[in-house]
Formats: sequence, structure tokens, C-alpha cells
Amino acid sequence: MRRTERGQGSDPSEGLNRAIQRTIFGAVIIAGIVLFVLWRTDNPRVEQMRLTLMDAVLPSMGWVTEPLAVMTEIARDYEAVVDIYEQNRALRREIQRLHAWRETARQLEEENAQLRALNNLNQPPRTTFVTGDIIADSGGPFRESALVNVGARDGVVDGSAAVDGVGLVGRVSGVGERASRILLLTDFSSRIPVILKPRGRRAVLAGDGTPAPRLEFLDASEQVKPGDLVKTSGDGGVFPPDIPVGRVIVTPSQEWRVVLLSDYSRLEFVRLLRYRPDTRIDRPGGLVLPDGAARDPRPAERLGAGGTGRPPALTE
Amino acid sequence: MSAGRETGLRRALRMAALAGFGLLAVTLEAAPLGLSPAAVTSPDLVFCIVAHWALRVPGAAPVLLVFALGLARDLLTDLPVGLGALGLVFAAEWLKTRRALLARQPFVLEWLAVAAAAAAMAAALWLAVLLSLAQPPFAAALARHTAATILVYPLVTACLGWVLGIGSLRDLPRAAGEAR
Repeated sequence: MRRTERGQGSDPSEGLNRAIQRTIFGAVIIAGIVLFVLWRTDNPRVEQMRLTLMDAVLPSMGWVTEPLAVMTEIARDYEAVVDIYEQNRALRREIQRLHAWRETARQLEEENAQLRALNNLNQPPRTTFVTGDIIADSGGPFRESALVNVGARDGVVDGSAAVDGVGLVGRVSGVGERASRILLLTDFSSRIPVILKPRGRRAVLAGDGTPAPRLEFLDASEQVKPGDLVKTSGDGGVFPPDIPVGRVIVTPSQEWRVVLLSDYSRLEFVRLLRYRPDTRIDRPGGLVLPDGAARDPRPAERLGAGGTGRPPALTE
Repeated sequence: MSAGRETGLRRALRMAALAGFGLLAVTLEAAPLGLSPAAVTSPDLVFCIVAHWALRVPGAAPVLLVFALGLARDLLTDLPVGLGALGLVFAAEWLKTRRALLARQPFVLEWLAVAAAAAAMAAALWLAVLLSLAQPPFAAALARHTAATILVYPLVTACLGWVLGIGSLRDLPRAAGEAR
């Protein structure tokens, strides 16, 4: 039937048809290359495009992704359902034990607040958060990322830390009106400044597509031991300090890696932290000159302007 | 005249079906089924659907529609934008040219052709990402993804054949392979 339809067309119209198709094909190739170059060179603009599309299709996507996610969860929890009675009993025992701990924690919190007040300590601002549901992940092996259903209207900003109940998951790298994208710690382009406790060694946690990211730029690695706790250092002012990330391990090839605390396979909700550092050093300090060599007649006041000088009455 | 209009309507319906199934496939691919790099790799369902259309009703899989689907997939599932869409377009066009050869042949040959297209597309994507000085994914992860795509193709074809009534290529006359 198709052949008869084509057969009706005369040669000139057939030729014109082919020319149009060829032009469209060429235009599509050019558009693809231009988009790819734009993606490589100007990622934020493409990211904005991505999230605008996401905002548009988000309500309809939920119809498909949510039942699927629920089915996966059911399949995953099937084994747990089998011994649910035993689990229930264990949980009841744990709740009883935790009740006692909650009272202790309350008392300690009050005591801590009183002591801090006595000490006149300048506390960092309280970090607030917004919780989002993971609605999509990157389908292919090119990226390790996820989309959550909270965005700019919920106060999410680019760079916010994403955590689950236990530890750091990633950071926000693209905010739409109603959705934002989280770059997971395992992605190739993820780099997070971390600190290793208890020794306080600093390093950069670099994702490389494996479940356990690598530790780079580790200073004094002889002081680091497998099992050390890895936390965010807060360097750079993007993440709040002291978010737990994972535990250090050493691979057979003597590479330092981190086993993440957050369980990516069971991730359903994430908290996106709204954090603004309260103090920021944005300029170098003034010169501290020896006594007598100072040209300025009032050196104490100059130092005071930098925020480091003591009041003259206290100096000897 | 009315026959021509009927054919045009059928073509439009099949294009709409491709768009619908393609978008459904994108959504399925994006569904969060495990975020860990060690999680089960989801197959490239959009490629399977486009390959099915390109081999059976190539007239209803125009370049622009395939490119638009590829672009939606790139944007929603975080692939290199534009590159995934181009790969899909090239794979579909290559499969269209193989159609005449595959008509009235056993399904295994069609499967082999689709597997070759999927593997070539994945290799080209990997190479293009490498040449653009970005970090390409692990070859093993990409191979797993491609293998999942190839394995799932017969299933997708069977489902689409059952739903849409566009059956096996064996039912097509050999000459129909030349029609576009």
C-alpha cells in the first residue's frame, strides 16, 4: 500500500522530498553537535534547560515512576516481611531503650545550652533543611545523579548539601522551580573537602564511578587508619562542617577510599540543607609591625580594625 | 484520494504512538530503581522502541521525531546532551537502510543488526565523550548497559508487536523493505 502511495509521486516531487529530508538530517546533526558543545562548555545553561523540562513533565512523571518505585521497594522488603513479627519485637525493645536515652539527651542538651550561655560562645547559625522525594535517577552509566521534587520555591540553592538520615549523599547541582538535581558523591565530577577524625587530617573526596569514592590530596597519610570517620570539613563555605560522610578503607592496591554511610540502594528521601556560613574571611589581615618600626602613630587601632587587636587597656 | 488520506492518518497515529511509547520509556528509564553504581543497569528502552519502529514502520519514525525523543531522554536521564540524541538518529537511520535485507529473515538476524547498532552507538558515545576531554564512564558499566539493552530488545519487540499489531519482519514482503 505504501509502495503504491510512493509510486503516485512524480520524479521532481520525489527529488524535492529527498532534498528536504537530507536538509532536515543535516540540520539535526548540526543541532546535536551545537547542543553537545554547549553542554561541555556552558553546563549551567544546559542544566537550566534540563530543569525547565523537568518542571514541565514532573507531575506526569510521578504517575509512572512512583508505582515503579513502590514495586521495587515491595520486592526489596519482601524478605523483611517474612520475619516482621520478630522485627516488631526487636523494635519495641529498642524503642524502650531509646526512651531512656531521649530523657538523658534532653537533660544533656539543657545542661549544654546553659554552659554555652555561661561561656558566651558564638554559635554557628542553625542549619535548616527541606526534605524531598527522589523522583528520578540518571538512567545510563554516564552520570551518577538523582532528581528530587523540591526546588527554588522551597528555598533550595545551588550547592546545598544533600543528606539522608545517616550521612552525606551529594550536593545540589542545578535548581529548577519545583525540582533540583543532586550530584551524588560517586559521580566522576564530585569533589568534596573532608576531614578525617580523630586526627583531623584533611583531604578531598573524589567520586570515580565506583561505590567507594577515592581520597585525594590526603596530607600525612601515615597518621590515617582504616576505620577513621570521614566528615565534611566545611572548607570553601559551601557545606556545613561535620556532616558524617563515611569510613576510611584501604584497598589491596594501597588506595585510600571511603565506604559511604548513606545507603544509596535504599534512598527514597533526602534532606537538602539550607546553610549560610556566618563568618567568612574575605580579605588578608593587616601588617603586624614590631614596636618602634610602626609608621602609623596608632597601630593598636589599625590592628583593631582588622578584628584581631585587643583593647589597649588589656595590653601590657 | 481517500486511501491516501487514510494512509496519512495511519502514519500520524503511528508517529504519535512512537512519541507516546518513547516518552513512557524515558520515564521508565528515569525511575529511581537504585542509585548505587553497583545497582542493576537499566536498559536503553528508547533505543529498543526506535529500532522497532525504524525496522517495521520507518515512515513513522522521521529523523526529527527520533531526535526530539533522544533529546528528551538526554535531558531527563542526564546523558551528554545532544550526543545521545545524535547516536539514536544515526542508529535509526542505519537500521532503516538494513530493512530491505532483513525482511523475511529470521528474527535472530534482526536481533544481531540491532545489537550491532546498539554496540556501535555506545562505542561512539564513549569515544565522543573521551575526545571532548570529559570523563567517560567505565567501559564495563557501558558494556553492561548495552548488554541489558540487547537482551531486552526481543521482549520490547514482542510487547509492541502484541499491542500495536506490527508483527515480525518475516511477514513483510521483501520489496516492502524499500518503502520509507
